[in-house]
Amino acid sequence: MEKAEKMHIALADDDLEDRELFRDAIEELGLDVELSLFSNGDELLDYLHDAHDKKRPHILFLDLNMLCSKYDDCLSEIRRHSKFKDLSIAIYSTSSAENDIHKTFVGGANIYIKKPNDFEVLKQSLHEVLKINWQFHTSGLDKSTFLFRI
Amino acid sequence: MKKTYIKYDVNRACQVILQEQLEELGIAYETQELGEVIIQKNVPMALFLTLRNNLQRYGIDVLNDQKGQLIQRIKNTIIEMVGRDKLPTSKISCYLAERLQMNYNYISAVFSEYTHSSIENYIILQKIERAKKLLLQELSLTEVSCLLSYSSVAHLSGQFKKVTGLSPSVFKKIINERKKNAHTN
Repeated sequence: MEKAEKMHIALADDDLEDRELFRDAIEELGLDVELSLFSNGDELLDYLHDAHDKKRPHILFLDLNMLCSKYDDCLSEIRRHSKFKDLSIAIYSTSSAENDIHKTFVGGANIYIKKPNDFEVLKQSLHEVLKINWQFHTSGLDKSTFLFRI
Repeated sequence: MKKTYIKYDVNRACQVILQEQLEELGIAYETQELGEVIIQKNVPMALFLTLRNNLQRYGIDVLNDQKGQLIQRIKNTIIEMVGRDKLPTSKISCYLAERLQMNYNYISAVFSEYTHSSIENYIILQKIERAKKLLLQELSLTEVSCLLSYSSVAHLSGQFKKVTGLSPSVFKKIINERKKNAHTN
């Protein structure tokens, strides 16, 4: 049954305050989810590589400027591996420049979220993102053309 | 007035209610461990729903993968419907009720309970998924809106934007650029 599968969310953000806000927002949504937090891209990539298929998150929230010491950027590094092709990547950014958004989507992101300043708006946006991502996951929809901007 | 104390065994009470309800409806059963019943023959959906309703009065909920199966049947019916060249002309709620031989309110309630989404939203999502495929096959917006029974191109574009946050043309541009990059890399 669809309810039985627990949603697994990961966030990589180097800003402690942003990580805490994100965690609070997810907690306040009251969803039954497993949340993994990472403070840098290397930690995140090690985790993704070590996790088995079933253990990998359903969705990964990534700060736009998240750097990995070993690679140019996290997004393209993750998208280089075909074993991560079903992992939804949501880029989380303060930029609303069309050029950034376009480049991010072309680079393999599924979701682009403009970091809101208001906590309630953040909660609402996260809820929307999780809902649509869960639909894609449980209905086996085509992730290669899954794009969502909020 | 005199206060009387009662002592009760909840497990036993539930067991008896369950047995009585099953017997009343003439459903052949075998009780197993606590909370497990094997129903011996295929029970028609209507009868099963009566059982479920009757038990709910006692706070007993039937947990059954039949619901999971029903969700799948609803989804399959919608996907099949959206995949056709012409969408049904009857109202979608009537169409689904007829195809699944079930009350639409029930179908809709089960769907919302288990998928965190409504049937209406699911249909929209599936239509936009088909629209994406058609757009990438170089069909024009007019052709796509006609195939998916939208009243106008504006209606299709509006719904596309609502589901993806992008206009159909921006969506197409991104996917095509990705493809181009994949070829050159």
